[in-house]
Amino acid sequence: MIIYNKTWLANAVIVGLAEEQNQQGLLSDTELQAIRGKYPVGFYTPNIFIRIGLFLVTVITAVCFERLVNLILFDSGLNPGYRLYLILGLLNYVALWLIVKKKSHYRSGVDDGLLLMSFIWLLISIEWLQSDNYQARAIFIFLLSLYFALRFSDMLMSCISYLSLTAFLYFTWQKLGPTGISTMPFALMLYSGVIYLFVSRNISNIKTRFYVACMITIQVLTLITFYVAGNYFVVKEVGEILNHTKNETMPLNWFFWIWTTMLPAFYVYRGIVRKDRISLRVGLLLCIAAAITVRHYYNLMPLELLFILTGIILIVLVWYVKKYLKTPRHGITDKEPAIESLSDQLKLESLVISDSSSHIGIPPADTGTQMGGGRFGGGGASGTF
Amino acid sequence: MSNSVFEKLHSDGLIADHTLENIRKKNSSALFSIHWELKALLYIGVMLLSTGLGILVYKNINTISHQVVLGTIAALTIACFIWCYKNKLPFSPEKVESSGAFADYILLLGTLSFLSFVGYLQFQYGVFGDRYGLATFIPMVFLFITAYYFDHPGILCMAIANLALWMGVSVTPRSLLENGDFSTEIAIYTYLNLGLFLLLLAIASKRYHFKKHFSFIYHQFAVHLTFVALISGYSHYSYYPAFIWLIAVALAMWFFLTDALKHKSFYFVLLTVIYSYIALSIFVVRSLDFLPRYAVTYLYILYFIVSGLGLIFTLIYLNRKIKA
Repeated sequence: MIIYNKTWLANAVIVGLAEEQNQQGLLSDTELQAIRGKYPVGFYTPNIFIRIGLFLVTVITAVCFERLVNLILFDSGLNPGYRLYLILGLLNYVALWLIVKKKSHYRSGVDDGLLLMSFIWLLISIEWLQSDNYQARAIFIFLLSLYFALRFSDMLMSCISYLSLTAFLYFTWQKLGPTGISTMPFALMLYSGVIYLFVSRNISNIKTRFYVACMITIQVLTLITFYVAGNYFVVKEVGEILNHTKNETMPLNWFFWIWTTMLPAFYVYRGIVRKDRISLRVGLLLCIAAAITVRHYYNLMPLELLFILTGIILIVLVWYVKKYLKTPRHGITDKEPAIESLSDQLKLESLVISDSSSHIGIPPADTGTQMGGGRFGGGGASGTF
Repeated sequence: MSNSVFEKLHSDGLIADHTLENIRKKNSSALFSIHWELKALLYIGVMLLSTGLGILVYKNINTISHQVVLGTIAALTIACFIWCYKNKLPFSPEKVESSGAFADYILLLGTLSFLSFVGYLQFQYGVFGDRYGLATFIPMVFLFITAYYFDHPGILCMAIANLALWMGVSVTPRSLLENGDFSTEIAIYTYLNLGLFLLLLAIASKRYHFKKHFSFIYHQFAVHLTFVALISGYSHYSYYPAFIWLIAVALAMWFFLTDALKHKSFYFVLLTVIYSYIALSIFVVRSLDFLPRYAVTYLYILYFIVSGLGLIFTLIYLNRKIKA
């Protein structure tokens, strides 16, 4: 399913982990060289700044190509309409395929740019039809971005596919009439919650091992949509638009207020207790949303006073937490992490083990003490043979 | 977390026993760090507090006496600086590790409130009169001293911005006497000078080992200012006289590119390439304007396609050159 060389992808993870330890001085340079020799990575992946440059240039070139073709067609009096963009999208896709397959580009900026432009041209070719059927539009965007996300393990495409599926659900529910509109928040909550649980359960699954970054993106989005679905402001305003009414109050007022104010706090609490950075950070961000929502309906004090009080509370809170954590407690510290890496949370070890063991030929699950590792190792073996 | 990976590497004989032991030990004692989260909260707190105070003063300017407002801001400034002074590590021309995120932000709060103090003083009492140069010069000197004394890169950036403001402000009144078009010309030269001056500072901080880590910040501002000034200089003059600016851009490109390649800096390579490409594109567009109308549009687009492809190969080539 994934277009990139799977062995290289798995090797890249091992080498990445070794490099991390090397930077912290725990692993010597000769050891790193040996690991690099044993686990070769043949991708072309330039430095991040070069990647940004390549991405920009690729997008500019693709857009200019479209302009040129359009100009030639216009001058010769042809109007191909959506077909032009369909062809351009496919051409871009072929270029992308060649760059990835023949030149081994992987996150090089060129492939990112071609992927985006291919998606955009195909999207335009559909938008050209000007359909009023929003459901069909949403499902088309969903299928298209899902294909790109699965084939290229691309974070932006996974993001788009989740959001378009959400839009599809929204339009479908809306069509159910009054019952649909009144149950909309709960449907969206249920949907976000189910997807979140599904993704979280499978994030260390061997089958999804090359999609970890995409799955984290989805986790962030599901946490946000789960909150937004029950946010008082959103429920009230969207409900009024859909019902064409203007109400002072709405049913289940108390429930949505609790949801609006308590859920971010719960995310933060859960993030700290379960040491889940995604939940923690999303929770902190949503606290701002909660504050803005409350202020929109209850103007308790002038803005400057609110700013000053919040500012003081935050400064004192941080000061207190820092003092409290002077010696680490409950496994939490306020010291800067040696390396800001995602791999700590990604539980990458499972995927690497399974892959390396399957092609080197050591039977997995032989360590006894490593229950988790062994289980995933077995999964990997059955997956590859 | 990644123990099993390293066990695997160990059993392959790729890493030594003690390496595995060290990594295991480190992983078993790994802690969950909320460093960045706390830092972000602190930053928001400081910003909210200083914004709130700003609005409070602005709104109540007629009801509370100016002395009280000034006194409060001054007290806040002094309190912050005393706290930072007491908690700081001794000064050294090398990099001094900050005594923590909290101290950094308290220093920032102190600096921001000092700036509002000076601004308020000028706004209400006009202590500097019409000498706007002086009104920006004093905060600038103060910012530079603070940045160097407490070793705070963020405040150094504010100081450099203030330097630009000072140079801009001390130029403008004169330019008002001349006709409107010249004002941009003076601005171009001012910012070109500033860019070159910052470049000198960047080189000097490295050469004389005085706060060497500030060199990067100076260098970064220097690259942006120099290129922006040169490119606007090129667009400002008419076609043939402007060639001298194009040569200047080429020289700047050569200098910054050599420097970036020498120090293996991908960031500066990218900046130099992008700015040079912009200059080249302006040159091509201006040159194509001489041609008859119907051909120009095609040539524009063809130029961007060809140059885009060329740029892709250039960037790939430079990336390989740095990595080699």
